[in-house]
Amino acid sequence: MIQDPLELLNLHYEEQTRQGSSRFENELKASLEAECAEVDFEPVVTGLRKTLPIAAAMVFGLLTTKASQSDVKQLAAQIERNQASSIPTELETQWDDSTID
Amino acid sequence: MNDAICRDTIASQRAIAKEQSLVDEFLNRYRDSSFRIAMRILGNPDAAEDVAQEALIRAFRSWDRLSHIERQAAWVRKTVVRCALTAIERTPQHEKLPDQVPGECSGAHAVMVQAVLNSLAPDQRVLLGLALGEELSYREIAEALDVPMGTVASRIHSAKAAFRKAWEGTQ
Repeated sequence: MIQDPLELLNLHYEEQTRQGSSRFENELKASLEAECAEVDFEPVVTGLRKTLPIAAAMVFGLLTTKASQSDVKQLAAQIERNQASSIPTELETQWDDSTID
Repeated sequence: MNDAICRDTIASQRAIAKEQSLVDEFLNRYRDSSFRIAMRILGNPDAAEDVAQEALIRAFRSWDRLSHIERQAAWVRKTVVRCALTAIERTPQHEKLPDQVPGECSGAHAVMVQAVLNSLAPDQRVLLGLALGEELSYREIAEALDVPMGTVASRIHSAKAAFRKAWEGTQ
């Protein structure tokens, strides 16, 4: 039987630590996944979830619970364009056969 | 596009300007600790989530003014504390005591401990949460609260004494 109130307080904080670490993340993910459940990201941009986690998008105000599917797709398309423009690709540096002697 | 996507916020400009990794890194680094600190102070997971989100957004907007990781961490902690204290001020008195403390391991003592914490002054809850819950140093606590380091020890002592007295009053 624990008698020291400060010891009980420490146990309380330890319990909060165990619960808290996953709860906030899970809550965020759950709410965001529910919001975006019907949005098919794959045709819009492959790897969006990897480069810009939906949770971060929601937390930092890119998306709100009012976002429609078209809003999400529009944002995803813009991110895709920005990412594509930052990576040199073969498409951007077309091979020019005419330079070959 | 409607106002659901806030293009003109600093966060969105940064994210869309190829700084997604910064957002990700920031979130991963401070999300859990922000929620924990808010939870220590508020004792209510829903309120703690709201406060942690608000604090993260505010802190992120000041990100590039803070060059060192240590300063960033201190800034985030200070922001969480301020947001939590503001939330307490805004909460009507009758809503301040949670009906229960969620969690599989929560027992009667957890409910009682939280009730006693809620009976303390907000700054005492902050001090106990940072000192005992987060195990921060006096210097870190002084930074979070904007108080001289010399006063932190005595305030923590007073907060512990207040908790002990309030607990004994429930027995």
